[in-house]
Amino acid sequence: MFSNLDLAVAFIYVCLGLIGFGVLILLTMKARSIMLERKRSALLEKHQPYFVYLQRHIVDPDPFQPPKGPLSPLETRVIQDKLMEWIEKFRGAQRQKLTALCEDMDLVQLDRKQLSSMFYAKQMKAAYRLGGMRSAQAVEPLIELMKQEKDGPLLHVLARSVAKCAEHLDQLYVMLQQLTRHRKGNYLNAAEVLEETSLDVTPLLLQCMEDRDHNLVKTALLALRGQTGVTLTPALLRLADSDDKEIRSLAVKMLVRAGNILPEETICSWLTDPEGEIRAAVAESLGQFGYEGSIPALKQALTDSDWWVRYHSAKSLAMMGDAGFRTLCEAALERDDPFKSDMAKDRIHEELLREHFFANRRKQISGAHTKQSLYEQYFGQASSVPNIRGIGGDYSA
Amino acid sequence: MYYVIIVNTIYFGIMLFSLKSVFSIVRRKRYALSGSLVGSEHVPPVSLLVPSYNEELTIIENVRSLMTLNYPTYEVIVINDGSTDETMKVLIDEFELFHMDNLAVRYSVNCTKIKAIYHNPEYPHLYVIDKLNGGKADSLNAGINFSHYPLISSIDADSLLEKDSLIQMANMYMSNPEEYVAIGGNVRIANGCTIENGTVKEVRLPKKWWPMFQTCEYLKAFLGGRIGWSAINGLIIVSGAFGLFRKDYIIKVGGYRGGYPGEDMNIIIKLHRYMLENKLPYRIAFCPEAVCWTQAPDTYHILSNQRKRWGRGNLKNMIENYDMTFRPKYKVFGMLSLPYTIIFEALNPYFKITGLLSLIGYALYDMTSWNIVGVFLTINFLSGLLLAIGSLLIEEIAFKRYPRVSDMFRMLAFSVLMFFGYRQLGSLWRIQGHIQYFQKNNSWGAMTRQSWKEKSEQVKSA
Repeated sequence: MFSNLDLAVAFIYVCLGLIGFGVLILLTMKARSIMLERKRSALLEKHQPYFVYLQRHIVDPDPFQPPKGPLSPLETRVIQDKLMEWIEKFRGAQRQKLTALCEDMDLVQLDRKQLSSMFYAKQMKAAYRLGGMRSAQAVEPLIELMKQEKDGPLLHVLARSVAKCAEHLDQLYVMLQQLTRHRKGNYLNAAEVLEETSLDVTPLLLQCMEDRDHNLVKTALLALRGQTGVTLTPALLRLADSDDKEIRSLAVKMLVRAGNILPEETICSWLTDPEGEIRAAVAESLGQFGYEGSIPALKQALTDSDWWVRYHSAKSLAMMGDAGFRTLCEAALERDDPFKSDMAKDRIHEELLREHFFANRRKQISGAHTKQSLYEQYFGQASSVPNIRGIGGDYSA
Repeated sequence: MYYVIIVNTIYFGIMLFSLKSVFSIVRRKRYALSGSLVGSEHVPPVSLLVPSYNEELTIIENVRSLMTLNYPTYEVIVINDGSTDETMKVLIDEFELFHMDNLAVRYSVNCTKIKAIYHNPEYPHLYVIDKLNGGKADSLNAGINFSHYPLISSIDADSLLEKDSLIQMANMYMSNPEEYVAIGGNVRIANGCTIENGTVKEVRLPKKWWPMFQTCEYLKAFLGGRIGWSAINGLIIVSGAFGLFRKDYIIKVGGYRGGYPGEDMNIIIKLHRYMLENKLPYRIAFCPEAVCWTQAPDTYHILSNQRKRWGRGNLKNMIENYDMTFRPKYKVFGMLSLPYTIIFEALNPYFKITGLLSLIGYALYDMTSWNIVGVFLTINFLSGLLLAIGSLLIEEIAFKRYPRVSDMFRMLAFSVLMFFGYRQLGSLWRIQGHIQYFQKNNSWGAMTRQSWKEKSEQVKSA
């Protein structure tokens, strides 16, 4: 028991020592952080005239002069932080001029050296700053480090920095390869990182669509989202038959949204895909494109077993003008499938509400209720009255 | 004695994991979040679910705050859980909501039938669900059934999110979307802070004692504990106040379990069980940089009710899931997290009381000396204080939310004071919660709210 008691007393001393040490560290850290903050504010104040000089001459063709006199490491970092903040805000020649100033001040060189530091934190900080300065000089060392790095936060920071600094598409291609090689889920991140570049990445993405690596294909499809060129159609049609569910879904969505005139049988075949996710994606995209030829297929999709397919089909029909709305009214009246009619009724209700609300807002009550009149054709005037009255809130607002 | 050694070893082990992870958190916070993410179309859309029961005082400010988050695509779904006050009316009046039929709401997970859905096309991303009272879990299930996006986030109606909180979580999710199934946010106490337009403008410590104790307690639990548990994928709870989840998996595990409190712990246990039984790679993580500010109870009555409820919920979860303990199939969760929670959390008050009473009894009957009792109590106090200081260190290294030196001293002082009354009360409340459980008392207990505006004005005038 005595030995246990001695051990316990020793433990008390250890705890007391650690508590004292912890409190000391806490107070030191607090004092240091307050002091550092004050120093930073003082340095920003000191270099205010230089920042004013930069602002005044940002549109001049001549390069910036670096600050005069020797700078302490903290001063250099304070100026660098300000320059990086501006580089993010400006575009074109102004951004390049600020980047050139960073290069002239040897800031890029300084962080390039830090990239090879043995400390992970320093490497990460350097990678982040090099990206922030958007200097082309940084691309090669960043890519080299990416090649050695495992999957982790540093790899993602390096990738983002490469995207910011890259001057050529090949550099971005290598970056994408390195980023997606570790994990198949990284394509979402890769597509997002690509948004950082100032280059036109379309040719690179077209190249990636042909790649054997599925991650690169998915990255390309995600990054191309929103592009509607019909030049993409042959490659997309090929990918729409892919075995990979996600590739198929992304390709089909793009094909529909790109405004291709697609044969009805193709749309119908996609709407009968075994994957509910793909059927829903097709139904959703058809509405965004507004292709009226797909109305019969969408009406049929209102009976789909998947709620999302029914939901998007109804929504898309509502986006297809009078013909789509008429189809919704018909579906609401049909008794063969309660799921279909309920979904159609919900959508009709929402559309009437929206129409009524915005018509009132625009003060164009008469003549603006197209959907209301269509609705009355199907359900009669009498049924429309309780419907509107059933809607709470102040309708005259 | 052995109990104290084991529990302290686990506490210190988890604290070491937290301290180890804190540097990567700092780096993630500084370098990994890009400003462009907020406008990116690649960020997955999120449905924010806000269950509300009698929240007429805070709901408007909270919804307005939620509608201005820095996040590209999201919807706010407020679920009025049969409030008996004016919650529904203030929402309808403030946002000029219109009643909608919504016959086609799907019921992917069980919930009380939805009475009505309210919407205003002027706020296209805001929906209010009105339903009969069914509890918080039931409300969340109703929100899941109505939601339109693949990720859901549960948010308490008495909490305020920081503008970047959701994007911080999405950033973490996007770094490994195939494995993250749930991500928890960091809950901080808003009492004492200055709040303007649904945003915490100035961070200050609470003036009152009860919230101040809770501030220290939350720092210890979230920074000292959850960071460490997250590092070993052993988190047993994602706070109900703020968490992000993959909807498909929530539906696969049957949604939230109603009928008892502790639904936030229950859903995480179910997720662990499902993923491990199906041998799916997964991660349940804690994202301390995603901050949610909440109103802490500031009276004894409300705080005791809250803690008794937590005690009941915790016990129910442990009884339901004890079969997972010490089974290698359930990995870290079954071998460490769950046994730890059962032995050192749920049963902790009993061990404490019996241990202390035995020691006192031994001393009274001269079977041991009073010195030993003193040593035992001192160890208990110092090890707890050491853990509290560890949490304060993590706070200072990674977050620095409390800027003044006086804040540091106050937190240190309250970390000491906690051991003289507050912690003992905590044990008492937990036991009372267990008694309520066996008495089948399943009420939520009184929770009064105070308007954020009033709170802020009180702080300013203080």
